[in-house]
Amino acid sequence: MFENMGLLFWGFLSVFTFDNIIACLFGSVAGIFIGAMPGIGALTGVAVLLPLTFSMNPTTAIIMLAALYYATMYGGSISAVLLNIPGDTPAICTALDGYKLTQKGVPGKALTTCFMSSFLGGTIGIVILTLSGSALARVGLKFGSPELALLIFLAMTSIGWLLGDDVVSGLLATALGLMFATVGTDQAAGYLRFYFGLPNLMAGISFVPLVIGMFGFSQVIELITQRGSDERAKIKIKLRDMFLTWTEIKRLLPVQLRNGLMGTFVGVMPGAGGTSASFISYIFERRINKIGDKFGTGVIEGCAAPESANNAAAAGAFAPLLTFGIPGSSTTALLLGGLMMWGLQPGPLLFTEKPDFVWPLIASFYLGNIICLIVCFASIPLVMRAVSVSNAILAPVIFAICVVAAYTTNNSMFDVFFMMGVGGFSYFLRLSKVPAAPLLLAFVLSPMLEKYVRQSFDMTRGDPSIFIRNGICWTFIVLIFIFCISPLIVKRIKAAKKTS
Amino acid sequence: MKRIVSVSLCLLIGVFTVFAGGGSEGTSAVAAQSGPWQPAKDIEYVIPASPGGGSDLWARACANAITANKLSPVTWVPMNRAGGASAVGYNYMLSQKGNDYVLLAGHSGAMVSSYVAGWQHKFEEMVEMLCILAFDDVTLCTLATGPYKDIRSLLKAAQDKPGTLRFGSDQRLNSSQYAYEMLKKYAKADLNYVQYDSSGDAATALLGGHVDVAILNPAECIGQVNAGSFIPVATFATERLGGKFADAPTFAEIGYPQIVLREFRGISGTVGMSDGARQYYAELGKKLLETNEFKQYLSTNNLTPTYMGLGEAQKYATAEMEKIAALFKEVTQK
Amino acid sequence: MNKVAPFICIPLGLYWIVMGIGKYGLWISNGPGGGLFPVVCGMLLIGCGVTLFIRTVKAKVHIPLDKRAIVFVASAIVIALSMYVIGMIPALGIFILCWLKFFEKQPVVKSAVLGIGTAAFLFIVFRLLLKVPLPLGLLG
Repeated sequence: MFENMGLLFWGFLSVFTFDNIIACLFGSVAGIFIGAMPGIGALTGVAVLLPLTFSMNPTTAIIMLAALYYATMYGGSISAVLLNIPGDTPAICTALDGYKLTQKGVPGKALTTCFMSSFLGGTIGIVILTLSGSALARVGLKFGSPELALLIFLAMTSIGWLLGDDVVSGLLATALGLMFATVGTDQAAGYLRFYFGLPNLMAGISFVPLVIGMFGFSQVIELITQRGSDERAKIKIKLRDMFLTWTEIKRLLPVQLRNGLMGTFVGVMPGAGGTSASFISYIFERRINKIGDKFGTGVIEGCAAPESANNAAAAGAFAPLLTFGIPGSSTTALLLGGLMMWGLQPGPLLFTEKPDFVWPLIASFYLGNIICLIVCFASIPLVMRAVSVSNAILAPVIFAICVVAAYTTNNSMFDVFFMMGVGGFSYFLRLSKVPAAPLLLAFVLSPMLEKYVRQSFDMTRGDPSIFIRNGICWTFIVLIFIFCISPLIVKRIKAAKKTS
Repeated sequence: MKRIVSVSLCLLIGVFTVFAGGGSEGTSAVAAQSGPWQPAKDIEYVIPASPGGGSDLWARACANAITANKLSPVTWVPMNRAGGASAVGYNYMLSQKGNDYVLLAGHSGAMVSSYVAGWQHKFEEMVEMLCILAFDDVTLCTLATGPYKDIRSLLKAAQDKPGTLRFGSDQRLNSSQYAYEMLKKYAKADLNYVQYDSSGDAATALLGGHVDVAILNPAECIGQVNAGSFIPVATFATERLGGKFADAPTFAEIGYPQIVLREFRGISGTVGMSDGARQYYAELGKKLLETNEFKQYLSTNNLTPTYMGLGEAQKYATAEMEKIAALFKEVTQK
Repeated sequence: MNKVAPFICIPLGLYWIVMGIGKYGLWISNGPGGGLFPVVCGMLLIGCGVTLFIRTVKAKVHIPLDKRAIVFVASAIVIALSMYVIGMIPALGIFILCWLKFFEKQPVVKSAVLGIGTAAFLFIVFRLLLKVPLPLGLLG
């Protein structure tokens, strides 16, 4: 560990070159911007900038792209909070409470919470990466399909609360999410399901157009219809409101620490990125927080949990990438391709053979995280003006951005029409008070569950004992059991108290 | 309000024109002259996969080498059209029938899918393989700390205890499943096929010890092989591969000459492309192989260069696919 | 919505179940088949559909549909179709201009600035910086 600190210090010394600092600064600013733009996220950003970096020094290049990756986690929350349109998929959960806070007239407070949580979560992730990155990556490898299946199942058993006031509407949303998720190639035999002869549906429904439609387009329709009662314009925005009180900070700190740890951990898992991290942490935080039942009505904890988790996950995803040369998320998979293009050989030898690459990169995370925080805070007064723009103008402009963003996902007009269709449909859902969260959760988590369960059975040819093969599995099983019966026990105790 | 809009717009334009200047040279329209066919506008080089994968690396390496050596008067713009195990990219090619300016990064895996995964069209109805430039040979890897250090002990274990060893692979109905079925048919090795989203995920599972053997391209495991965490136990190629893979025998060496699978990569064009363009691209492929940049890419990724030109490439691809489809048919009929 | 929902949910759910059991299989080659999740989903859909049906019979829930919403969605579809002819960016610019001018009754100059400004912004970000091959329409 001390050796690591020494190497990190040395990394800091070499990161402070003009090129590296400029790269880090540019990556951060571009990342915040890309994150805030609906529809384009870290993956697009890295894919576009990657070819431009081939002529660069590999260290400088990855510092820039890594900065872009974690900065999108910051940027995504801006549009989620102010416009109810998540800039990137990891910010979906942030929109649930963040926009409610904007409607309450305190968008500044929501943004401050998001940025502070992003910073703390990111820092936790980076510190863990520095101190025990390779150990953590080794733990991550222990998680095979059965363990991951149980983890996802644990998260899904906690969806219950998300269903909202009306259980039927919530279940309907879950069913629709499942339905969308079953479109496309199936995990068992590779055959195509429910694709209705459309090649664009063969790989399943794309997540980004779905999110843009459900949040962006349906929000635009709502803005259009709210013309007479332009509530948002009435909100008097005072910059003073952006600061958190001491009590609020004290409320947030444990949330941020918990979810920072949780996010780092999920980020290290194979195949999980910022999106799964923010979903899973939002679910669990809602479950264990004292005011958990107020989540979704506009509480700062609801913004803090997913934001600290997704930033931590972005840092955590680098642990397996640097230790073993295996990607933890689709964006790090792309960075892996980048490493090869720069002439580096990703793999277990990277740490030992190329310390002059790895340690400045890790050192740059500390720097980039601070840059992001400063840039974001400085941007608050500017971006908050978006709230005072009248709906009449905002609506068509956001519509235009949604269209282009949906198209960009796969470069196809199909996604534009799909986005509009989903948007119109989810506007109806909004009118009938069907919540969006369970739909998206089911859409994200159920294919993962299906995949991991299938892989587990494949490993043993149908022997279910694989689900109790080790301590990790048993821990999850016990947790699932506790989570399922604890509400019943709490109810009993409350009832007993009342009668006594 | 107007002020904010205009100020922020100006700022944005200011910041980004700096970067736009670097990349957007625009289309250098070269008028088609008399004589052999020459491209007159930028070429869209379709990658039927997401950024970061093998096909993506391939297409970008092609485009870089072409630009760096000025092999083509116009720019090749790599374009990811991912989805449906490459079906989206191939269907896009079909929609561009006869277009001389759309090419596709051809890989045999997607062609297998077009035959066996229930696509509406076979690959040759959607694209023409203009030239094959390299073999991307597949190997079987095991974990260095695991019980199976060579192919014989692995096959023996699979024959003795059928249905216990785990075979990590990417999606079914692809060339990986073909390799699996060959092992089952010819070597009587009955393994459990565990399907992952990608070969990269299969490699991760092997590293974690969740599978006993994984089927990987050299580029997907070279890092682990160099570090000594993976052992390449066998190659599906006809001859041994070089470098760190030299110790891995071919299946013919251990007595199963039928077990051969050579994944190949090349450049595909649209169906109905003009003859001049077809010849131009096939010739360009040959020149591409001679550039230093491309040679460098091939060697770092352990691809074996080869050349099959116009007509020959398409014929080879179709023959391979028919062979593969026949085995799949046999398996599904059981 | 509540009135229509059951009539959509129940047939959809049935289709998902029938395909799940009949075509994709609940349990194939020693593991959950491709039909397992669709069947779960179909049963959920039917369950919700039936409950909603009972509920609509009991209580009269009426959700007013806004005319403005319909006009907007209709014009959005028209503009999306027009992208095949005049290209994506010009179509969106014209849409913003016309929408603000004729529907929101904004001043011409303001509408034009916003329309052209947004189009320019999108063009710079997506076409020039991100190199997205945006549809050019027949002009391309």
